[in-house]
Amino acid sequence: MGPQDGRLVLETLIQGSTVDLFHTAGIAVAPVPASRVAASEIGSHALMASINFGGSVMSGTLGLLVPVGVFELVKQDPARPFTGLAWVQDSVNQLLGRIKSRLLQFQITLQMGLPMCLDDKALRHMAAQGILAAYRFRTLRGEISVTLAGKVDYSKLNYSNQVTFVTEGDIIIF
Amino acid sequence: MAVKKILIVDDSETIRQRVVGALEQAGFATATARDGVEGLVAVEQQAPALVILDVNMPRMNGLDMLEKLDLKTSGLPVLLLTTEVQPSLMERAKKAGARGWMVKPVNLEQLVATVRKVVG
Repeated sequence: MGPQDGRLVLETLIQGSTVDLFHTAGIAVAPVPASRVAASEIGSHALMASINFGGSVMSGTLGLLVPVGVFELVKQDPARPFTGLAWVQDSVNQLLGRIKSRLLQFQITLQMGLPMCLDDKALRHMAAQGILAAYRFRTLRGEISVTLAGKVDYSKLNYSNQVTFVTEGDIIIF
Repeated sequence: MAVKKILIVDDSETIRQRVVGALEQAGFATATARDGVEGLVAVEQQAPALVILDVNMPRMNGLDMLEKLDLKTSGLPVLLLTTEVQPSLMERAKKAGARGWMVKPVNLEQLVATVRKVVG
């Protein structure tokens, strides 16, 4: 598989994972056509989080930028509310989990770091390091962005037909 | 009958709040900890009937905490709740005596049903 095909595979995988993640939270999101955008086009939001990852094929940082209006759509128990910053950190963690799970089909494993909040300064730093790709998603309350910074060996994104026997939402009793 | 206490060890505030809410609504008592270090202390102090444990956490991860708990001696049931799906990690948890593996995001009704099944 050539690097260009590998890019498309990763793009599809990130877009699918993001749509699934927000669908689970009851929020409809749609990838913006030709949504790979330049780093300079990424708008900052009040709710931003990132998570580092490492592996032989890919290493870097995944970012998730969400407008406050989208968080307001998340159903919460009024007795036990959580903050938008806690939610966006959990969301970026779950997003990387989904991407990681889908990468197993390509026999690619990732080690996940811990999610952290991202501020404007950290976002600029990430952009300066070189954002490989940024994807935008439309919602009823503004646009979500997902950013990917780091290194990817696109030639290794070869489908291996490896069965992933557990997936999101599964409960396995030993 | 005494109310059974479930300890939730997760660095995500969102997950702690959601799981606590679902378990308390189902009649369980709960306690929480934010990482493996706090989790080990909480197991000593709270004497839970079951532990729900995340894998990726600061200071001490869930698998390291699991191995320190010496489950084969204590018999304390532990269910992992994580985004991880790597078979090698599941195998490590199973070897350490964990009772199950749940992949986030999990349906809360199913989580409660699983907890009921494991604690009896």
